[in-house]
Amino acid sequence: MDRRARFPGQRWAVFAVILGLAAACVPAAPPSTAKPAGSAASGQTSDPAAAAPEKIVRGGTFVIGMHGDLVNFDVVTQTAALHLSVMSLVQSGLMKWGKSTVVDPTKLACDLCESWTQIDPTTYEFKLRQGVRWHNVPPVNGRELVADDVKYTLERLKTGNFRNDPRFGRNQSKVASIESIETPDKYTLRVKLKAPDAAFLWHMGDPFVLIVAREQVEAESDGILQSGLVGTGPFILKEFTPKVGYTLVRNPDYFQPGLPYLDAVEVRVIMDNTTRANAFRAKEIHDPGMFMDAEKKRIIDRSHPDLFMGEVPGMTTAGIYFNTTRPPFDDARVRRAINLAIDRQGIIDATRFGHAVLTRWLSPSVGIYATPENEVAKLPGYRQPKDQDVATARRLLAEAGYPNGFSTELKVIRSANIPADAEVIAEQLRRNLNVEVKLVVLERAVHAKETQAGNYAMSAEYTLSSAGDPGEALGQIVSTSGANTGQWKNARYDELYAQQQAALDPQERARIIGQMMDLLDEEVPVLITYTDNNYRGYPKGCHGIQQEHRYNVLIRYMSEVWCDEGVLRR
Amino acid sequence: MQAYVLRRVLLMVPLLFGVSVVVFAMVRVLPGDVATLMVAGGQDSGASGVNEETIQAIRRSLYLDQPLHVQYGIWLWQVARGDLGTSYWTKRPILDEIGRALPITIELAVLAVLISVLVGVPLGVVSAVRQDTGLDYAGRLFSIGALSLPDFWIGTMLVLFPLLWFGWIPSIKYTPLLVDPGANLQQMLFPAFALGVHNSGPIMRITRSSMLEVLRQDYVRTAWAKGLGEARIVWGHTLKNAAIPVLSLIGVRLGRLLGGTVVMEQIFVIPGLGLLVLGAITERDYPLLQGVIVLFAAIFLLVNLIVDVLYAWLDPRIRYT
Repeated sequence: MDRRARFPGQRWAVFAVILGLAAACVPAAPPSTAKPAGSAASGQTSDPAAAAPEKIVRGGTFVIGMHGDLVNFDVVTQTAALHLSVMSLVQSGLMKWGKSTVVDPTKLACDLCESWTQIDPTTYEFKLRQGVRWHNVPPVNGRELVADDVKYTLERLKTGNFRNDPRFGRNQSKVASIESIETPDKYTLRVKLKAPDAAFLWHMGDPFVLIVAREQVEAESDGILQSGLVGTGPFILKEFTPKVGYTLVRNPDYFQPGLPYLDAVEVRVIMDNTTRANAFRAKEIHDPGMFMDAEKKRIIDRSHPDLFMGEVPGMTTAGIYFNTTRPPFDDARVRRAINLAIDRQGIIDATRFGHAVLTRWLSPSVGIYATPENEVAKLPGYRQPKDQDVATARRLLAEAGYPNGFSTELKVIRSANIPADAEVIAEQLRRNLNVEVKLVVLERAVHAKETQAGNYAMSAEYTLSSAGDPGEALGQIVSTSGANTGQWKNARYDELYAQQQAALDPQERARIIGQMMDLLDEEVPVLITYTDNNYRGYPKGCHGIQQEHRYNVLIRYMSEVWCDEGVLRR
Repeated sequence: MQAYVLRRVLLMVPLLFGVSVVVFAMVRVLPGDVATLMVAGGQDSGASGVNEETIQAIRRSLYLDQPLHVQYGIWLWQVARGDLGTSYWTKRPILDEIGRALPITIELAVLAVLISVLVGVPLGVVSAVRQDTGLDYAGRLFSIGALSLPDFWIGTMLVLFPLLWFGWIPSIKYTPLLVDPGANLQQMLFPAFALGVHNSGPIMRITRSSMLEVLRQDYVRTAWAKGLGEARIVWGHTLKNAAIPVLSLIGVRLGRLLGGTVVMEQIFVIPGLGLLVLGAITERDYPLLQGVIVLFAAIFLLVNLIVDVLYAWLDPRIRYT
């Protein structure tokens, strides 16, 4: 019998009495259920959700903790991953990313489409599943989904009627290469691109490219999906209370027969990370959501043998942006010197307890396009020991006119681990190069304004590629990008960027991207310290939950999740 | 009395106007910019096509490109018509947002004050009546402990110890009081207890000192001399006269609690005003922030008025003209 079962019903009242009695004799340390290191519980690295099921148990309510509230339900304004906790379960996409912890275009799969064909380098034809029905709720009332719905969604995403919301276009880049869309019949969609686009299909499977119902958009006063959400997905949004939570129930007419296995999914807004982790440990929720970390994983592994927390390299890289318009960072030798003098492994060990990955500009989660970690570990600036790199860095700094170092300022975003990283970096630069770094820690709103205005010498922050395709991350520092706040301009890089974007052969694209990585290590417009791991927790008795490189991008597979008897509320 | 109350209510208007000016100015001098934040997105948003054109479009649509006095005029005109505007982010009416959060905060604050009074007042009375005895020392020790321990620490322990001992935490699923009072109280009692215990410390101390002062009055000595019972003297004659400073303190504490208890709301996942304000600050949601703070001020003024009126009820010698 588990502990909860022994403490049911009016346990809060019982607890109040117990707490009163216990207050007089609080033990020095609470009884620990920790297992010794190396036990089966702590040593488990394989994903129990991937184990082959003997017998699928249907039903139950799976509860997800969410670190914030949805702003609205509309893909035209949102790229924050938490929205997918609801939207990805209610809506479907034309395609979907496959079950993989890295970007893997070979695992792209159809969602609403039945098949696709590339007619020529710029034309794709999709055949849609027949008989797919919208949820049987107003305003769509279970009508059939047709090619016009997909066309409407993609065109709306690109140029649609949402100009009264200033945040329009957050996902616009994912459909930017589309020139025109035709629907020869109810179930056929033909997409013509302006030019060959290596990322097009990947973007069609993007978790934010979700098909919306025209009727629902038109029913909204300002054309933004706000008052509710309908879709063709495995769950129907039954009710929601802003700032509190969302209740999704099984869609009996889902186009994949037999799915979903769960009766319902409850998504609860629990903003505090520690509270979510505690609720997970107490089995109040089954998924602690985003912003779990190595420390929380350690506690789960040590003290909760019935829970699992997986970790895989994520899409988030920590780094330092240089303002290349100002001395001393307008000199590539200075930036290169800083890059060589940093001890990345030291930072990972000090602030991430070793739970992060050495990485160049692209995180390992971009699959074949990333440099493998063992190769990265041999590169100057990334390798151990540091002696040779530090000597080179000192020489470069002297050649640039700073033989005795210099003083500078690092503006640090107050977010997760970045301030701690910055402290270690400042100490390393002082010790290795005699560079005095003044840390200025700023909250997100202030940091965003300062960096956007280019008002910084160095800026420490996270970078994140929301779509997963390498083109997005690489595009952040092309000359014309608004995200290129350091104003680094390099014609060769821009040229290579255009080449890789048009390279339809993945191997050829990887080769070009490799050249871009070398160029970035030479020029160092941004210094990448590491890639953060992504964590996903769930009870070990649940099956089908996907570990993922960016939070929630594979949550659409929740339709295949089921849990053993006794794990969920039924 | 009616004229006094009316005068106080009318006085609130210029006071609230002053508060609105100060709040508007303070919110606008906060560093950071909502338009940039919207374009940059949250930590889990990924990179976006940040460009100055979009940022300026956002500023225009939110009237942030207008001079401050024009922005204030637009906002004040809305408020005068009973409309606090809409949230920059969610586009939901601010009155709806506040309307959803306020009853939750009121419930939590009232529960917390009830607990603090139920604990603090009897302890203060017993401590005064049994001055310099073991009971008095125990009561004073409790009050110093309650004062010294921050409410968020007590709240954290209420979550942490049952989690470590029983693998259980207090309910964090919010259910409205009118939907299921039992489920609602299961969640609310724990934060209310933490807040109540903390606030009972000062209430106990002021009750004790006020009681000690009244117990030395001539009329109390006369009551003893007349042979009245202890219970009647203490609870009937002394406490009522000693209650005015206690009531003042309760009013101040209630006002503060109604202003939101951010940390407690975070720990126990209560969607009250505290979390609303916290979100508005971090997201620079100016209209929401302005609306909530002006509401805080109005609540505080109202609670003070109620306390002042209660003085006269407690002590017939007090007359307002």
